[in-house]
Amino acid sequence: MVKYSTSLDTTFSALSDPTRRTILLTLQRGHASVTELARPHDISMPAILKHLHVLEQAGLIEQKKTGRVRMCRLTVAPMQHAADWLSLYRVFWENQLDALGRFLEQTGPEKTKKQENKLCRKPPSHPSRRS
Amino acid sequence: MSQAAVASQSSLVISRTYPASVERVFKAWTDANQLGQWFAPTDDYTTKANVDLRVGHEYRFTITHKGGNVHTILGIYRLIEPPRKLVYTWRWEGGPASDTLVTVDFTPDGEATKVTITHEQFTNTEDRDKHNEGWQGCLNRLQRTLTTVA
Repeated sequence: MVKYSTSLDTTFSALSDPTRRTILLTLQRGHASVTELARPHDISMPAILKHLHVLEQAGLIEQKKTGRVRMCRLTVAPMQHAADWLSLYRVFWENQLDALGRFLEQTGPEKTKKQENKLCRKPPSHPSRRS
Repeated sequence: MSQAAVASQSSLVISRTYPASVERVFKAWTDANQLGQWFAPTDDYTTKANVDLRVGHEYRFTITHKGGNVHTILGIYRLIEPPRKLVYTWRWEGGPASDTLVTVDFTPDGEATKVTITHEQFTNTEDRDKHNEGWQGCLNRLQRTLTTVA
């Protein structure tokens, strides 16, 4: 079993910063040195190192020192867990929305209002305003 | 732009359009009796809804699977703008104390209604970790039940 539970919150917390997100995006293209990661950001090296530390603590990246160069690379598992969390809710809500559709269909239009029930099941998604 | 894509991983947006008036869809979403008739992921679940539709007051959905498993969702209404908008906190009972936040927008689209759900995570950021075990357990149970009945 992976340490799924603790990493999930930490993942989102680590993702809550734009600099850290940019670092992750850079690392999506492959490993990079700390200097390379720092280059696009107008912040100090200690600040970058702090961000990298947060990402490392969250298990999103790994740092390795080869000689004098510190290399970073992405570790995918926590990101995957975060995505899993959302997938679960997506499934949940899609099911709920299906159920609501069935309910609305079964109960029919309200009796107080005379509505022509000629709308098909999948009404157009573009908004059409009534005058 | 890609940053937004990463950021959006912490919230989920889903919408659906129904051939029904906004009033009717809003009522289906807020009336305890009507919620009890549809707010279950599949026919294998029955839902009992308790709703106190006032800002600051609670709702509670008790969702029972035919196999006997019970899941309870509860939360507090934060904003009620009939028939257009609902905002409420969301938590699985037995899960962590940290709430998530659900916003439901009901938008007229001709004679139809577009429902947009925005489910955001972690409205409280403190003390999340220690509660997370239970939360994960809930999600795992939910995943199991959803996949077994799918």
